[in-house]
Amino acid sequence: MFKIYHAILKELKLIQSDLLGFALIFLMPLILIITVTFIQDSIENNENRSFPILLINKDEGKVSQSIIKDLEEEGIFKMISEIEGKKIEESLGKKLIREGKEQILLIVPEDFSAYLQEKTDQRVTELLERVEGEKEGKTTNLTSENIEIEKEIEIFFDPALQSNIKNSIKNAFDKVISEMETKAIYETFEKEFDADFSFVKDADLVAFKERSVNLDQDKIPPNAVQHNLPAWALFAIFFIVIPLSINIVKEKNSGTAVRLKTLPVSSSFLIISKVMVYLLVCMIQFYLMLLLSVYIFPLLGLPALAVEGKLFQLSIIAFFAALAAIGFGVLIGTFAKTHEQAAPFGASSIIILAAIGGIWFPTFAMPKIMQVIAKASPMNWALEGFYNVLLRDAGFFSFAPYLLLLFLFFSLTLGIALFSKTKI
Amino acid sequence: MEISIHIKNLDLQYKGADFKAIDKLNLKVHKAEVFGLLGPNGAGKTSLISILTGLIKPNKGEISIEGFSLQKNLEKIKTLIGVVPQEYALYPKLTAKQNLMFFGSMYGIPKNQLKNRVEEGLQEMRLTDFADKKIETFSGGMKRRINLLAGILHQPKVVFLDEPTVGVDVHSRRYIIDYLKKLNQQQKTTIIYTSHLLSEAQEFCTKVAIIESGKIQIQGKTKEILMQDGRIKSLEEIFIENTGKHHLFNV
Repeated sequence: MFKIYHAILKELKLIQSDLLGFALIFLMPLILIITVTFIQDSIENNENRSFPILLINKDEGKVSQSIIKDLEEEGIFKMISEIEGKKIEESLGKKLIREGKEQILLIVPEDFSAYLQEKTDQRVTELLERVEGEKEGKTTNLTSENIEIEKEIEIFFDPALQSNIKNSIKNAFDKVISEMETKAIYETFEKEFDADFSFVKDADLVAFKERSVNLDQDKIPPNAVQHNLPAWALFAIFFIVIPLSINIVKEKNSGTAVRLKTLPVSSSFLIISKVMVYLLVCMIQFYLMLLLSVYIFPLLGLPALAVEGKLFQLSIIAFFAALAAIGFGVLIGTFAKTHEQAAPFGASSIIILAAIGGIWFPTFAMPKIMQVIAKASPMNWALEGFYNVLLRDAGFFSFAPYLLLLFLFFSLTLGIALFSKTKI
Repeated sequence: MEISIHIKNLDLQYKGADFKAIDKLNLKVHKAEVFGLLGPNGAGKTSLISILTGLIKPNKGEISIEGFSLQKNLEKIKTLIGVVPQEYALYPKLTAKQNLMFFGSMYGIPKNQLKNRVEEGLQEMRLTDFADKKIETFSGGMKRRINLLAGILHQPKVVFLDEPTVGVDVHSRRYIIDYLKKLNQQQKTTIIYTSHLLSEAQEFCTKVAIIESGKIQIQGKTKEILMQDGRIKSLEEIFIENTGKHHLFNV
């Protein structure tokens, strides 16, 4: 006991002796989790987020006015049609987009309202002719290809804008324009039949509502914190790989390695003492992140993490995830010859494991091959375990297989390290 | 006299090397001897110490230390030997006391005894005032003294010292040599010592062996070796007479 006590004490003192490193180990995950949650929470709630759109409206009709009004009412766009009190010229708008000073430019062509009305009238007339014709046994060749598009609303994007943002903006435009087209068609029918169809045109025929599959329907739906904490806590836990592998490499390359090898204690003993200390560090990190998410987040205007009745399960998953991370760190430290090898390899391998493990992008949205690869990432096992507890309210048996996988990963990596010739 | 270390037909050739680092080496070291292993750079001194301390395995040969076969009882032998490597085998970020407590505890020394031995050792080495200072703040000589203490706290029967006084000032060297002499006389510790400092070896060692190209060129009691051709020679003269073939060959 005295031996293990001193071996652990030595590791603790070594961590403590590097105050900055020590602070970084505990502070960086906290900063990371606050930053990411802030961003994600504001995105999910659309708070303080409105995409500025440069608008050049060459049309003077009411349709374009209505489109612009509807887009503004979507709440995510801020239409800018003037810069420094002057109407935006097309050349200036394009220049600003090209230079990346603005991200979105919308150009409504001249007489667009009149064009839309004309096209709608034409469409409705043709429709009615077809209906009449079919009644009299005649056939018409009315197809969507027959309608020529002569005027388009043009959208220009900053080339640096990510495609997912572009897609969500295009979808919002599509929605507004499609509603506008439907309205125009109804209005033409109203004119044609001299009737009031407002009871139809303003009503949604199909509605959808998000519901929970959990039994307890009164539960608060998962917020950004419930989603973020597992992912970023795991990311932080796995970052232990870097200081741990550097610690091992330093020890191997220093004179102490010679003395350690001549001590009447095994390599396993020395490594296990490291495992215990770094496991403690990981768990402290995890509990700090939990405390922050439960008590500090509400003070910062963020939703609090709901952990009632789940703390024990979360701790078990964090414990096994930390074991897997430590095993990986020991493996890297054992095979790396210099800390210049250990640090970049450790950092990049964590990022790769995180990427394939679904920390940043959900695995279901990945290509098939990546979904298979994701199943081999310890971060994915731990993440699924966390999600099962935190978001799916599942019981122990739902995450027990993940614990087993994490433990096998730890045993395998540690075993390889301990049987290696390059061990401490 | 009882034999402490017995080496028979020891051979070592590193992978990819064209020559043997240790070549059919035979050696007996008796208990409580201070045995100097001398030789030019690359002669095989450190390789021999590395084999004796279990750091590397020889290709051939038998070794027994304090009656135990090294090949069969390495773990037992590790409890009987102390190693003072040429490098500073200490944690620079820990204090002198923390280093000594850690290494001492790994030998299973009971808590109170260890505490006393650390305090006594620091006193002997005139480092009590620096007990709680980090090793990284120490001078070379102070580090050497702590390096020595860390290897002998468990009162081993055999101590291997690989150049224990290299790069230290006269005072530190004196503390180290005096302490080792005391250890040898009071506890009858067998000391295996390598050094380039021949005058120090001449003064300190009861027996010496001069090695070159992994072979022992000459060995015996220091006094007997020095007495040659009817006069007392210096160890340096003996060293030059028995080594340098390799250098001449290269030239």
